[in-house]
Amino acid sequence: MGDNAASAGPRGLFKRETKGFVTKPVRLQLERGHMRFFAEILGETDPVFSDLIAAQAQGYPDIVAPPSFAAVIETMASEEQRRSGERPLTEVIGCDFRHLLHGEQHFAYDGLMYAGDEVVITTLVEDFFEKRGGMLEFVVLLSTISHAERGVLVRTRRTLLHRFG
Amino acid sequence: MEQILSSEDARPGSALPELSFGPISRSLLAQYAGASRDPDPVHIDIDFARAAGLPDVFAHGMLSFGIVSRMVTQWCGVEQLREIGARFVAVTQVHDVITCHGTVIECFERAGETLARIEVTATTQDGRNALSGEALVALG
Repeated sequence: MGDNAASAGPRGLFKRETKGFVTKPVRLQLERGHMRFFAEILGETDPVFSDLIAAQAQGYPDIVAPPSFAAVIETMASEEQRRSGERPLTEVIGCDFRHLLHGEQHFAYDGLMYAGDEVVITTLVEDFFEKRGGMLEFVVLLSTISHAERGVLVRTRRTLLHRFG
Repeated sequence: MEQILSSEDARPGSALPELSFGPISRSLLAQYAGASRDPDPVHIDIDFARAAGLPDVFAHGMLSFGIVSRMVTQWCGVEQLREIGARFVAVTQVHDVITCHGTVIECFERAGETLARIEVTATTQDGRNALSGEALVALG
């Protein structure tokens, strides 16, 4: 698709020079109450996501994080960066919430995450690309969530985009 | 979740029990924003949405993704889920009801496990496709 001459307005808001940037590892505690609330909002009925006794009865050390909680950890990492005086990744790559959409999300699981876990997340700014002659501008972020003893638990791929018009 | 699905339970073409969710209310979006720690005001602040040229706030893509994940793990158990991914095809609006579907596409071997590839979708009450993707689930 060629450039659309009629499309004025902001273009290319992502800071493409950040391609290859890797965040410093961010350490996060997974809180039982937070995980349970998240599971409840999604209407999770499997008690392993909300009931400590039921989770332990199935051999888990604590309640289990729902699969999409990995995305919450990605967001919490940005919060934590801000708290510790660093620029959050969304700011580093130049996200503009007025135009921002979530394009794709993928998770690969090597292990479960439990309440009480301390996990470490790092994120790589893998790529930027455009579609529709620059009317859509994409960034691909790859994150790894790991645990000191259990190793890598989740690998995520998040595609965000700016839509102009 | 004790019983692990076998290849008998996951033949190509078999459908997962479908799951409906909604209608999506503004208060649900506020709660999801808090629960997911999403800082994007476009989902909860109509003033922000209008200033950005949008008619209204709209739902988080990850909300539908979370419901689709719930459909899959209700079927197979969370421990059996190896991968799940989706593309957000269209925005989900306030008051939409989402229905999630899953269909087994194929079963194959990978790294000593039998995996089922599940095609997943979330559609709205008027047939708009909000999300489409796939999950890989380990069979017993």
